[in-house]
Amino acid sequence: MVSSLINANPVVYEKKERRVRGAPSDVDEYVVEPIDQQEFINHIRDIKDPEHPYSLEELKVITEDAIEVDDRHSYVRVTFTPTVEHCSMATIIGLCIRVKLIRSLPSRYKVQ
Amino acid sequence: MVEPGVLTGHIESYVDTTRSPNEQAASLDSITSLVKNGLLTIEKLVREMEMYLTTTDSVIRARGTLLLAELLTNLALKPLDSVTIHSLIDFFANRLDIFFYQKDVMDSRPFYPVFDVVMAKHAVAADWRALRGALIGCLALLRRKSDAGMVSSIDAKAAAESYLKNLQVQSLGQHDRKLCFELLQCLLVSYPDEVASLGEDVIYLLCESIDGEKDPHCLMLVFHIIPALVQLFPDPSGSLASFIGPLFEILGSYFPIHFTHHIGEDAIVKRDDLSRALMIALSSTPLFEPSVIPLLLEKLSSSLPSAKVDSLKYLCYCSIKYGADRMAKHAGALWSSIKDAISTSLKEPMELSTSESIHGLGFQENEIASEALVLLETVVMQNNDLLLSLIVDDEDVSTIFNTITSYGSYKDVPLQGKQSLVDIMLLCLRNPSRDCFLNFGALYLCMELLAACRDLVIRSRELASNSISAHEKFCCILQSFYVSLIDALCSILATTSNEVAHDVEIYFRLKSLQILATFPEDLLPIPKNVFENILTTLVAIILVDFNQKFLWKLALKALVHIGSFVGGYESEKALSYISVVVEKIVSLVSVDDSSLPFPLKLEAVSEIGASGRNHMLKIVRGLEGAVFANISDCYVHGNVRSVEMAIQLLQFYSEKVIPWINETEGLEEILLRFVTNLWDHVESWISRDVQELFDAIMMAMKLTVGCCSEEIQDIILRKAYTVLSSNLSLLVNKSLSISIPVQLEESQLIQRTENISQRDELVLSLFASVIIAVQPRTEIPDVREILHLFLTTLLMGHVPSAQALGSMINKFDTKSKGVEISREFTLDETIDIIFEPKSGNTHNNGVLEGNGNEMGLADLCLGFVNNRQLQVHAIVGLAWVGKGLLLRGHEKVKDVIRILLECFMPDSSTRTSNLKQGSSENVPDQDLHPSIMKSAADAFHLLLSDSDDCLNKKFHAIIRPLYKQRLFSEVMPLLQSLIKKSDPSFSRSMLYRASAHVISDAPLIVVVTESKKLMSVLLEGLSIFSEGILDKDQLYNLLLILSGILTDKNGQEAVIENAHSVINCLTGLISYPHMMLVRETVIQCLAAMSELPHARIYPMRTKVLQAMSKALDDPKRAVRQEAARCRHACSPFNTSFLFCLDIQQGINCIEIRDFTRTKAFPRPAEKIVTTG
Repeated sequence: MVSSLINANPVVYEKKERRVRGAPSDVDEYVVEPIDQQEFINHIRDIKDPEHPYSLEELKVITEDAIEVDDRHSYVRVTFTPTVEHCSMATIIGLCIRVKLIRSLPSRYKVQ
Repeated sequence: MVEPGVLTGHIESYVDTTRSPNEQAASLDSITSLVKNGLLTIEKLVREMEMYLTTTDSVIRARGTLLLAELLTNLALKPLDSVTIHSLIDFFANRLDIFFYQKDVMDSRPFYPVFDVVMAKHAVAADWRALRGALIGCLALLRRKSDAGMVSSIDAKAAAESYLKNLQVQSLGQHDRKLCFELLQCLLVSYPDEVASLGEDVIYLLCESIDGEKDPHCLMLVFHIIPALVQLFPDPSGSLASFIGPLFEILGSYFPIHFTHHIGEDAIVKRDDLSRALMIALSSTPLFEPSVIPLLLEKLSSSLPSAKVDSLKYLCYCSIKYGADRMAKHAGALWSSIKDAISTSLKEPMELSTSESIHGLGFQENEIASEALVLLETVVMQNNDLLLSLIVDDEDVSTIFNTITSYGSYKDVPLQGKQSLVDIMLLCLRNPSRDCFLNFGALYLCMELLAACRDLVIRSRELASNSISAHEKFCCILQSFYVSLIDALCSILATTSNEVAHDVEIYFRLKSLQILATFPEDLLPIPKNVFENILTTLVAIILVDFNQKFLWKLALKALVHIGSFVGGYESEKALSYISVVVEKIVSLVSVDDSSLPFPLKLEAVSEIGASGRNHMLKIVRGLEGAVFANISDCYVHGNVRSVEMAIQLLQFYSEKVIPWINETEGLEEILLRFVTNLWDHVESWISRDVQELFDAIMMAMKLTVGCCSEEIQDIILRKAYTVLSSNLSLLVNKSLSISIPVQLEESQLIQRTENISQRDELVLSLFASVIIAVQPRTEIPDVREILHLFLTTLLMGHVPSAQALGSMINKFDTKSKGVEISREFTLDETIDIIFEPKSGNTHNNGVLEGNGNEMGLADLCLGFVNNRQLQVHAIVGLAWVGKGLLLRGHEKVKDVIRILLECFMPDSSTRTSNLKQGSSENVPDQDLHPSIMKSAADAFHLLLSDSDDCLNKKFHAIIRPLYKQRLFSEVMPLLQSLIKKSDPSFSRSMLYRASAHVISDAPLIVVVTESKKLMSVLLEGLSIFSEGILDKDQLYNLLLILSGILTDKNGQEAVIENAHSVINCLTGLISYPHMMLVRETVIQCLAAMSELPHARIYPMRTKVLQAMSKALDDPKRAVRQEAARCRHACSPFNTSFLFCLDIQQGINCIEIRDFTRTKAFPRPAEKIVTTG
């Protein structure tokens, strides 16, 4: 028998309105657009929690503020907050985020 | 006739309750069709059914009765004789009595040959089950129309009596109750007199049967029955009056309609329908009035919004039905209820309205308020004096404020009512001091009042029966204060720029001003200085406050409104509008001193111009002046700063003014004037070589000419030709004809190219623009000269000449108009002149003739002259001419294509033979120069693509449908065979280039159907275009074609066949540095390919993933996003494997740390960080 869910009834937060970047009309072809927090969160916001049908963003496991990015040094650090203390799924969530980022970022990045 | 066995079988299967419903229905259908087709009579059937109708088994008897009843329902349209109907109705009516079988009915019954046997054997026991059949049977018979045989009135009465006597409706089941009500309704509608003769028993029975009814279906029927019943007993003191009390008690308990629980199947009866039916039932007789109105008023004060809305609706409907006299005594109560309803419901919107947009400030949809207003309107219409005196006497002024403002906007309220309302409002208006005007509420009121007054006046004008004189009270009051009001508003607005005002306040201020300014003149004669004061204030806002967008826009809008108001007729106001607003705005454009940004200036100009014809005319005139001033400032004085402005002005002229003139009739003179002016000015310009401005002028010229009618174009053309011939040395110099002497040295040619002075080029280009834009029927003077001129100049690399030549050829009328020039100069001749000068060129004189070495464009293209520059120009010219031919579907276009294709073949037979015949000694045996092949390849792009500059619908080109498809199917096979023949050299790559042009410009659908053949060419083309930066747009177009192929089923097969090379090509393009869209599309294509069958795609997967990891680091965000998506799309091939690897990696580098809680993370959980 599967043990009962650790947090059976999590608080579901509303999804933040996805900001649409105002696309500047005549962009210079050769301008470099650096990778920023928003782009990161776009990558990982839709990961589903291992035990609920909600995305990590809805559960506020990850927030935009908890991501530190340094594009020049190819460094990113994601701090996430599990829904309950001693969440056994924390490692799994961490792993999910990690894999997703490894797959979505250029190889020069070291994911932390 | 039917065999008895068959019939019995059908009956048996229907009566048998163990059979499935489908079988029963089928047997019913077959019996019905038997009777319908005349194979079976009712009599015979009844005889056959005898056993089932009379058996002692109540179940079978019930089924038997039901069968007969259903059969009659199906036979509603089949004529039956009266005897049969009589017998049947008698039968069914008797069956309504459930104890029928216990009585010895046979004694009193007359003898009927058919039924006696059946009826004689009636059995005993209460017969609940058979009741349904009896009801259905009665209903079916009573509903019959007269043409199919109706039930006689005696029988109907008997049936009704039986109904009254026997039926205990309340005790029946839901479906049977429904049938009962249906039967009653049917009786009331079809046999009203018979029912009426039964007297008050009917009403009694109805009261009894509906008491406690809860089923929506039944209630619906009941509500319909009551009005019908009321009609039967119209006498107010008659039998109905005594039952009104109980009837109301029953009906009133249903109001307001409220469903306690929602059942799916009940959705058929909507709450609104039911509520409406009840409303009609309650209002069906004025007798209800003493009890209904108090009930409704009571419910109006309930807290349930739907109850309020319902009460208001009912009140409205009932007061119409009950009549003014009866309602009079409720007027006081009504008014206070309405007042309460409106004031409570309006409070919230007053606050909400701040968020309203520019386009109109209204209350939020508020059902209660609007219903209340409808009710108010109704009662006021009904009982004017009483209500008004009530309203006027009401001391609750603050409530009236709200009520009346909304009321005031009601246009349908009678005029007197409105007038006295205005009185009250003005009374209220006088009370607050002047300062009060500044505050929000007063402003709002003020605006609404003004709007109401204006609407009132305008409407009364429309009605024309009851026009208002200026001496009416409200006009007097308005007249007494409007000047000070305008002053106050203007002074506030003038200072608004400094303070931070709320948007809504700004809106009200401007709106009030606008309304005052547009008040009908005879009622409110605003003095000239006051009117001008308004205008100056608004114009000042336009000039200064451009940073406050909202204010600026509103001010402009107000000006436009006022403009269109005064623009309608000549008056003092119109004059002052023109002098204050229009002239100021026009001066904006011409004088460059204000700080107002140029685009805003143009917006203001176009908006104001749109407000009236006179204004636009003035503005156009000013605009023209500004255009010419700027252009000559640039071209004569060399002022570079004016260039930008001149270009914007010209664009504005082309985009806004020309379409406007086009829509307005009879203004072509303006266009003519503009063009003539342009030609007059040209002579004074000294070109400073500003290409953008020059392009803008040409475009304006083309558009202007294109919009003119033939006659005007004719005038323009003549004017242009005069200027051209007086100015252009080229035209006078006849020695420069189409034929270029072969022995002309390269240096000479180059010299000649430079010989065209910049001014000549300007004139020539403008002339070319005129030629490009004329209609086909417009006659071109001196065609031969002009042809020669264009031919010469195009060889010098003057592209507009080539375009004009193409346009001329495109529009040449083959069946000419009979004018001299055209008669001797047809299209074929022209083409001959262009291609083979010897045959067509008869007038050639001067030095060149002696040489005999004249050449046509065709020969030039093939390089008979040892001058590459010339050859390239010739090819471009040929392409434009070819485009002209192609569009009109002329045969000669094949020759053009042949010549272009020959340019790719360094040693084709044609060329060598030509060389031998021709001037071989002058042409060294050389390979074709790359630039020539390239321009030949690009010529295909010119041929197929749509051009904005010329040869399009706007410039009246003759365009045959499907020309692209035709050319595509003609050229592609030729190109492909050439590619096969040619060696892998430069010329081959150029052939690919040409094919790529053809593919990317042809319609997608054609390419997709041919995709299998074209795949290799397409890929080759992609790689050729990716080499340089210049072809990026072409590359993108071609890529779009490829992605189009990828989405088509046919195309996918082609891609699967070439999967390897396609992926190679695409991955090569991922790092294309010059265009982000290309990279993005490439990645999208790759992602789309990942959905193709695995077997083909799998081997290439690693390559794609490698390419993706590169693309993930793209400088552009959009590309990175697509890359991540594509990578996810590609990886599921072996998710499990890859994921295992990733997990392994992940576990190695995960370490869990405990963090102490900090304020930054208030949630009671541990923070866990994955670290590498």
